[in-house]
Formats: sequence, C-alpha cells, structure tokens
Amino acid sequence: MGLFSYIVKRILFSIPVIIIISILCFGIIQLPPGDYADAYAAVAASTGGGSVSKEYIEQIRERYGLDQPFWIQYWRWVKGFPEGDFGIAMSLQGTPVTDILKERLPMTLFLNVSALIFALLIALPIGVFSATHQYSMLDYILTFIAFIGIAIPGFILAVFIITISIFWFDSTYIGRLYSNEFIGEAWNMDKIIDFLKHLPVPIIAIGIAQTSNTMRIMRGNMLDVLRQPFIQTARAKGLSEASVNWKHAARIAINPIISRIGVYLPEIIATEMLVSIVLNLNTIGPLFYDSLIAQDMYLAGTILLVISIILVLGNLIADIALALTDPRIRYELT
Amino acid sequence: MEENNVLVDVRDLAVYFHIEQGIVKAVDGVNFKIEKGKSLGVVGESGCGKTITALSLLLLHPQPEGRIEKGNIFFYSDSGDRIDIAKLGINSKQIRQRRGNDIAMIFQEPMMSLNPVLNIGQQLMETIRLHQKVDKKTANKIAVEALERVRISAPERRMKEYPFQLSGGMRQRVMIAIALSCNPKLLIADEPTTALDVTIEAEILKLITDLQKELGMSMMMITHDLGVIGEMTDDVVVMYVGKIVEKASTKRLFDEPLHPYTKALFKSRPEIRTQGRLSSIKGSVPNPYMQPKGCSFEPRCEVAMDICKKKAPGFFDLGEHLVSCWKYSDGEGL
Amino acid sequence: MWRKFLKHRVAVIASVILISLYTVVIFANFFAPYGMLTSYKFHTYAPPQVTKINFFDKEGNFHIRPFIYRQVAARDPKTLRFVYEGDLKQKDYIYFFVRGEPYTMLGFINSDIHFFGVKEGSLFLLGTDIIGRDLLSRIIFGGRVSLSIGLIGVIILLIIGTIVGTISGYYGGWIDNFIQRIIEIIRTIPQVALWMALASIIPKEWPSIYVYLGIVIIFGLIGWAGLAREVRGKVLAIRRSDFILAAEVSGASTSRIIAKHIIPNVLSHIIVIATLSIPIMIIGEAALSFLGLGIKPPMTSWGLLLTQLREVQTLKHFPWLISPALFLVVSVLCYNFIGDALRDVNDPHSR
Repeated sequence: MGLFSYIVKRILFSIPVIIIISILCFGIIQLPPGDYADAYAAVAASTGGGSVSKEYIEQIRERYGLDQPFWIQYWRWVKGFPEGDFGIAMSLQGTPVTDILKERLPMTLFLNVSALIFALLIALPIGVFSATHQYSMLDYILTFIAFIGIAIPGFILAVFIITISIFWFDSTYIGRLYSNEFIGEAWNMDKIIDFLKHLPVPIIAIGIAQTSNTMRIMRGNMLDVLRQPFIQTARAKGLSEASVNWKHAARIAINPIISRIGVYLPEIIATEMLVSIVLNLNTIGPLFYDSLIAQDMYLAGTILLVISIILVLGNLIADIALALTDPRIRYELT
Repeated sequence: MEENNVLVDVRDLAVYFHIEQGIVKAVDGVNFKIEKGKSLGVVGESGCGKTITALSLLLLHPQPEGRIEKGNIFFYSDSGDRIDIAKLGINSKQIRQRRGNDIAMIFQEPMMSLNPVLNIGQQLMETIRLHQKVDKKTANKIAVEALERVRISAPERRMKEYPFQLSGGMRQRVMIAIALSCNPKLLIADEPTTALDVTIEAEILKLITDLQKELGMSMMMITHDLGVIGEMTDDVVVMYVGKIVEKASTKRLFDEPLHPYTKALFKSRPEIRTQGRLSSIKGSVPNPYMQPKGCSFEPRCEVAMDICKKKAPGFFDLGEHLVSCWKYSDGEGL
Repeated sequence: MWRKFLKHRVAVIASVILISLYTVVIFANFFAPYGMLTSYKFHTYAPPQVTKINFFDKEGNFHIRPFIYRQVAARDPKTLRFVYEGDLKQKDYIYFFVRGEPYTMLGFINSDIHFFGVKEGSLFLLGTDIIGRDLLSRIIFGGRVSLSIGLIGVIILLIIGTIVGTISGYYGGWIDNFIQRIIEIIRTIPQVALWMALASIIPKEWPSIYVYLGIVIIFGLIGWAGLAREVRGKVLAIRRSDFILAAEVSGASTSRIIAKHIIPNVLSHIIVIATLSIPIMIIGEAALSFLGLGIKPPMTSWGLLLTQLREVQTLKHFPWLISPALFLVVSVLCYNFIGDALRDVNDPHSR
C-alpha cells in the first residue's frame, strides 16, 4: 500500500510542476519578436515566392489568433488539453499537433528507450567483468576505452560513430529510418528487416555516451560490494563465483545506477535530438528544430512540454524501479 | 583404522600474502587435528592468523594475494576417503561441494554477513537447493525447520523478512541456521559473538553448543576470548603471529598454561576480584614484514633467555600438551 | 595549494595545452597561414597537405628546410572534382615568419607576417573546404569563438549562480524553497531543447557579434541552476558553523558575513564547478552552431565548421573536415582534467 501511495503522491506533485513548465514553454516560444505570421512572410520572401501582402499576413494573424495577448493565446492552447487537443501546426498546413506527435512520438520513445537499454546491456556486464578481473590486462584496456568514451562529449561521439559507420558499413542504411521503398507502407517482414538494418547506427550513436560512464560506475560499485562480508558468506555456502558475482554482487551494485537513470534521460534525449537531426530521422528532433525556426508555437510548445513530461515520467519510473529492487527503500516508504 | 575419529588433519599449513611491500606469513606452519564430534578452540590476538587458518580450510582466504604455500588440509569423508583440500582448485567444483555442505562457517558480523536485499527465506533456500536435490516446497520446509532449530520465533513469518528487520542476535541465529541447514560435519565459527551484546552472546553460545551435541558435529571456534574457549571447547590451540605456540586439551590449558604468551593472556583477563591495573602484555605484535630470527614472542617475553633470540623453538611434548618455548626444552616446566 | 595542483601531471599538461591553444587563437591572424575568409577557387576540397611535407626529395637529398611539392589541381574527368598532384619540378619551401596576407590583428596590430607558410604556392595543412578556404586557418579563427564563449558564459553563470545559491542557502525558509522549485523546474526541461528554443529567439538579422553575445547570455542564463544548487549546499553546510554564529553574535551585518566568511569558504568549490562548466558550454555552442542555431557567418566557430558534415556523404569523401571536432575534444578533455585536479586538490574525498 505504501508503494502505491508513494507513486500517487509523486504524480500529484508533478502536476503543478508540469503546469508551470507549460507556461514557460509557451512563453519561451513566444519570445522571439514577431510571430508565426512574420516568420511565414520571411520564409516566403526568401524562397522567392515574392513578398506576401500585408493583408494576407493580417489574415493569418487573425485566423490563428496571433494578435491576442499572451494569456489568451495560452488559454487557447491549454483548454484543448483535456480532450487531447494541442492546437494545430501552422507550419504544416494546420494539421493538428496531436496527429503529428502521434506519428513521431512512438518512434522517438522507441529510439530513446532502445538506446538506454543498449547502453545498459553493454555497460553493466562489462562493468561486472572489469571488477571481477581487476588489474588484468583486459581491465586496463576496458578502462582506457571507457575513459575515452567519458572524455569525448556526447554529440561528438555520436557524429564520430556516424562517421565510422559510413566508412565501414553500407552507407545506404545510414540516415533515415526506412529505405525509400518502404515509406508509407504497412509493416511486413521486409520492412521490419529494413528497419532493423537502419537501427544500429542511431541507437549506438545515441547510447554510446552513456555506456562508458555506466561502465565505470558499475565497476566501482561492484568493487565496493565485493568487499562486503556477505560476499564471503555467499562463497562459504558453496556458490560458484558466477553466482556470487551475479546473484549477489551485481544485484546490489546495480541499484545506484537505476536510481541515476533519471540523470541519463536528459542526456539521451538531447543526443537523440542531435542525432536525429543529422541523420534525418523520423522523430521529434527534426520536427522541433523546424518548428522553432518557423515559430510555430503550438507545435514547438507542445513538443517542449512533451519532452519535459517524458523526463518527469522517466524519473518517476526510475524511482519506482529502485523501490522495487531494493527492499530497504520499499520498507522506508511504508 | 586408527584415524577414523579424525575429521580434519592440518599438517604444516602455511599461507603467505604476496603484496607490494613484501611477503606476509599470515600462517606459518601450523599443525592441528579436529576430531569428530569434538570442538577445537583457536585463540590469539587479532592478526595472529587464526581467521586465515579457518578460511583456508574452505579455500576462502583472500585471493589473489593469499596463497597456500605448503602443507596439507586433510579432510576425511564418511566413507573414509581422504582429500587434501589444500590441493583443490580455488572455487573449483570439489571445494564448492564441501562449502556449506560438509564444512560450514559463520562469521563475526551478522549485519554485514547477510545479503541486505534478499529475504531470509531466499538466503536459506539458496544453500539448501544448492546442496540437496529438492524442490522448492521441500526446501521451504527444510528452511523453516532450520529456523525452528535455532529457536527463532514465528519462523514462517521470518522467511519473508529482510536482514535489516531483525536484531543482531536473530541475524546470527539465521546465519547459524544457514550454516547448519545441510548438516555439515564441521562448523567453523569465527568470533561469532564478538559483535553481540553480552546477554545475547550467552544465548548464542549455548545454542551453538546444544546444536553441536544434537547433530554430532565437530566445531572449530575462533576467538580472542578465553572465556568462550573455557565454555565451549574440548581442545585448544594458541596462536601467535602465524604459529601455534601451545596445544592442549582445554582443561589442561586452563589448569596449567605453559607458554609465556598463554600465561599473559590469562593474566590480562579481568576478574571480579581484580584490583588495581589490569596487566597487559608489554610491547605489541611485531611488524609482519620483519619476523625475528628466534622465537617471535621473545621481544615481549618476560622470561626470555639468550637462546630465545637466536633460534626459533620447536615443539616440546609434555604429555598431550605441546609447547613451543625454550623453557620446556628439557621436558620440565619452570 | 598550487603545489598540490602541480602534482597532477595530467592536469598540468592539460593546462599547458590550453594555454597554448588560447595563445594561438588570440593571435590568430599571426598563427594562421591564411585569412579566415580567403578562398582559393582552384583548391576546393584539397586534402590535408601535412602528409605531403618532405625533408627528402625524390632523388634522396636531404633538405633542412621542409618543403612541399607545388600542388596543382586538375579535374578528375569522372567525378568532376579537383584532384591534386605534386609538381615534382617545383619545391615550395616552408618558412617561419613569412610574409603573407596582410591583416589587422586585435584591432591595432597591422602586419603581414605569419608564423609559417610558403612564399609561393599553397600550404593547406589540414586541407580546404568546399570553397577552398584553408581549414587550419579557419579552425584557428574559429577557436576564438569556441574558446571564449565558455569563458564569458561561465562568468555570467558564476555571478548569477553564486548570488542565488548564497541567498538560497543563507536565508533558508521560503526563499530557499521558492528558489529550489524554480531550479527544479529549469532542470526539468532538457537543456538541449532549452538551448535550441532560446537560440531560435535570436533574430536572424542580427550581426554576428550580437548573435555571439546572445548565445553567451543564453548559456549563462540556463547554466546557473547547477552552480546555484551546489553553492546552496555548501552554504547550508557552513551556515550552522560556529564561526558564522560568532560573527552574527558580534553584530556583523549580513552582507559582511556573506562577503568575508561565507564566500571565501565556498570559493574553491565554485572555481571547480566553473571550470567543469566551461566544457559544457563549449560543447553546447558547438552543438547549436552545428545545427545552425548558433554562431552565424561571417564569424566562425568549431561547431559551425562542422556543419558541412551534416550531409553524411561529405564525410566519406572529405574526411579531413572533421578536424575541428578533434580540437573540440582536446579542449574539453583538458578542461575536464584541470577541473578534476582542482576538485581533487580541494577535497580529495569527493570522488
């Protein structure tokens, strides 16, 4: 019961935070001088469509209510929330924002989560291995690699991975998530395989930055845990080294990392945005970018809001996961 | 066979630690036997090597720094077979089959010796299912019985509890339950009550003695507390800086301690009638890297002679009472 | 204090590297063999010529002065791109302090002497870009922006963060709560998204220099939250100390207490955090410029130089264009080393 009420409390507390964030998001998007109408005119002028007449600009303004004061505009946006209406994307011919997001959000989440899992899947075992074979040649090599990974900042690593992939792999699978033939087609086996071939580069590029850090932390945690007396007890029971390392030591060493997933998420989201812009992926990154330039406030504001919510949720999930794995924390909550 | 009442026969065992600063001879040639159904006490100050000796019986001595340099650890199984534990591979299947099964060990600090994130039941059943081919239900039953045997109240409830929910005394009982769950032939107890309150200490010691009689186990009791030795052991060896300095039955030792070190140990125990300052042994345990050429106790010995500085004494047998001291070289006491 | 720092060999090496980097970019006009904007029409996408420097010529003669065979461009009939061949009849020797393009450095030094170069022909050590601009020179000039943004941004961040953190920690109560909530909220929005959003605020029409200032301010505005939290923590810790109590009891005014007692004690921590924030800003600027939201031409920065790589195919054909990334990595690494060493000097147990 305690765990449940804890979750409920956390969610309730997040709501005012999210509300304030929504105001902030909306406000930030509105900050640049001018509005969508002006941006529209500017784009039209620079793409050689000739200048747009003043009346037309005014028309656009009126249509989207761009001339209203901030709070009214904000209200117009927010009032649609309960029904799932997040306004319309003016820069995309008035498609409802919800539709656009519905199209791109799942893929974004999929990539982010996959990258995170990828990072953990690689880093954790290596961390365990590094700790149990401390001071061996392999440990030194892994430590060195990890160090490089930590030292090189995230987005450069991502670019670097992309660079390497171009040289080593067939470059037709780099950039975009689907080959041309499959866009808009229903999912069949071929499309899935094609998709899977496109996946490795983005996922590795996004996740790699977290891998090194996690590896070092896991190694450190393992070393700490392995020093504890109960490890000796476990051995004295007759358990194999593998059992001792995984069933007992790794299980505890993981906890601090789970609780820090909340810290990983922003980095992953950030790297994902950069990577998806570079690789022209079908996710939120490029969308956000374009909407910012076009000053499409409903679209940009909603995206910003959504990303923040994802972050808050991610943190919440991480905390819950921690409570589930560590009975001491569960006990404290009751 | 004359040997059939011996369970463990340790011959000339030496365990050295190879570290940066040099070689530490933690255990330097010890000989002792543990007989079936009887208990042997090992007494000495901290750092004298008693714990390492005990750990090496299960090949649990710290690796890779610690190595069994020479000697044998003969263990006699039920069928009369003799295996030399010292020759088994570290963490090999053979030694793991002994651990927790034939030879069990309990440690000093029950809080840190139990895995904090697993409940009691899991930790008990782990041992049981490891050494006995039983299904979960049976293992559960055995576990509950084990808890009953160590006189823990409400055993079924305890199975679901976690170490941090139990008191120190209860945790030690759980440790004992785990150790005894597979009916070992030998129980090694390394300072099991040092970390407990005095009142609890008495209970635990009584429990161990009762269980030993009940199960017909042998026991090796490691302690620095002569009182515990007097209460619980049949025979005793006194260790100093990695060597055994005196070996006798407990009764004999308490009647007439021979080695100067043993005498000093007895003198430094506070008794009700003690008045004035407690006597302590002058000097301190020597630097482990610089072993003196002669008798290692000589610098602190009040009755040291010339020869003590020059040559290390062997063992002198005064009739079932062995002493390593030049004072008894002609078979007489002084 | 300094002696302890000097014991960290890596940090010392890092400091030396950074100082060298900064010196080179400050006197960019002198160190760079070419101007920032000069383009050489017939040397577009020239590969790096570092490898073409010789001490031995084709006949096996050794020359003390290194030279490069004159690079002549010819069009590859198939790809229509320029391909470069060394003309064995022409040796261009490399000189130090050679005369080259005239410039006005730092606004008042007029000269045309460059640190190194060739009298005739061309020496593009790291190759050229799409319109034939020497990459090395552009990297040097770009370094001005990349390396300075971190420094200036950090100053803003320091001021805001320290003030807010100190107030929050010292006064406690509802002020502290309020400020903490704000910080939490700021931290909830992913930084990169925030950067992008704020960067897009900068009007496109602004001249480069204002854009630069705008970016700097943005970084300062967003980054202070982290520093404020740390400062608050340290201030809280000291707040209850006896010596603060003594100062209060003896009637010292709040500002005096803060200035004379609290700040000196947290100063060392602040420096560590500041040093570690610089690389974050350097990367941030690089990322923004890379996306086109940051520095605008004619100014250039390392991030901006990497924009050419947005087209993934470019890298395959002209791999040397990634060199700015190396400089980025090295600078960030150096700052991180120095920051780590400072942190270690401060509080050896903080790891």
